[in-house]
Amino acid sequence: MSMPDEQPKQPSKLESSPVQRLLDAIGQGHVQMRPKWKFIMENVAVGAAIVAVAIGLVYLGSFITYLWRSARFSALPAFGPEGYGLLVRAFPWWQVLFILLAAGAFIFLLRRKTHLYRWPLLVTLGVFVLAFVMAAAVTDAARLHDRLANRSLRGGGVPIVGPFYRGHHLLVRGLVTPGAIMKINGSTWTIDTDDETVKVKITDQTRIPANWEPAVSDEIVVVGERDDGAIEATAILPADRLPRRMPFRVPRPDEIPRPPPSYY
Amino acid sequence: MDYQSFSDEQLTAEAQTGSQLAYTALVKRYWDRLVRYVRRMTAGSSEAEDVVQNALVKAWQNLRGFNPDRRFSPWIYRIVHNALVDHLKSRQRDPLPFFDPDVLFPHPVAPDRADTRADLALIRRQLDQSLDKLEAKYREVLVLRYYEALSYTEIADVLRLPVGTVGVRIKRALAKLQSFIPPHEHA
Repeated sequence: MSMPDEQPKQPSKLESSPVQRLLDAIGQGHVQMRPKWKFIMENVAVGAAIVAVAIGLVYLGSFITYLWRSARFSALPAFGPEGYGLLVRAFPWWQVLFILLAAGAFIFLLRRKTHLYRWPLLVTLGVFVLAFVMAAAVTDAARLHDRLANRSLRGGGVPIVGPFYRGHHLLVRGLVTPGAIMKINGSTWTIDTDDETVKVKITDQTRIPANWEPAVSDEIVVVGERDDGAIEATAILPADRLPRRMPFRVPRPDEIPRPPPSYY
Repeated sequence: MDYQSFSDEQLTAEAQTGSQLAYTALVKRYWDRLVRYVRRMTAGSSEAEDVVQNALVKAWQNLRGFNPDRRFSPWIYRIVHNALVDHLKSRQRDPLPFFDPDVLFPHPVAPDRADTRADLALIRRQLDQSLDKLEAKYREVLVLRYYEALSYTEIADVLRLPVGTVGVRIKRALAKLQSFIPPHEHA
């Protein structure tokens, strides 16, 4: 049925008209049809980009929920302005920015290649956000990041994303450390957490409740970043004064990922 | 071969194998409609034929990317629409909006229905009189709907808009059209 070299046989009133000039250009080969394989390759490339961006989005989204857990961000607001300041300073904003850009690219590509544009944009965004949050929550619940972070921080081979966890090791270790006071020696306290003994440095800037007298065996929660194995305390609260309700509560020990102490 | 009895999609499938005769039949079938569409969008510009010619060159180049299981007319109108947007931009004349807030929200609109012959004749008469007074975005949906007889979904595919937005634009465009008619001429 194919007749690639056929020429239109019926000269008509259209001769020398724009139509005829167009058909002549095609007939004389001045305008070539792009081969089918180029469209197939283009679709495969766009499809692969959509899948890659979707995987990247779910990975980053679940990474943020993982950091929220492991750094115990949820407990920070209980420490007042210092807690909020630390939360704002330590939160992975770059990942959030990257998620927003990737989400824009994802929706743009989907609307170009599918009939998604037939839906109102806000509906598309709503469905996207819901699916994204659910996928990220499920991925985090599967403890993917806990396993990858532990392996990476132990020096095990984690391709591509290994440096990502090492770059966030302070957050993975936690900005909030719960433990029991073992010793009080002036401005240095020693606390016992579930898996290690840590020194806590108290400075003039450390915020401690005015009507509280710390004593050995008190359960406390220390907020601060680690420096050479010790914690520079920004704030300290007795554990019983922390909020118990979501979202601002201190996670249970079994909810917190545990890199090996030898890492430090 | 007699291509008269072929559907657009059959002709396209044939043209995709390299048949210039099949593409010629398609071009001749659509040429007048496409030129008319561009003229109505450009207030009778003499460059309408050039715009359509450029679009049909692009259509030939990309013909193998068309899926013949889908309808041909929204695909070809989409290519002409893009050529038209480029043309309007180059002339800096009444350009179509890049972004319309109406695409954000769901719009409950009446279902797409065929207008009666009398309705259609009346609307076309009003369009003939007042089309140029409408903004480009309203003009285009009315042209595609009432002159080119595309469905809401097909217009959505041509303009890459939500179907509800097409419905609400048509509704508003008709209301604007009514406002241009002197009271004593209202049916």
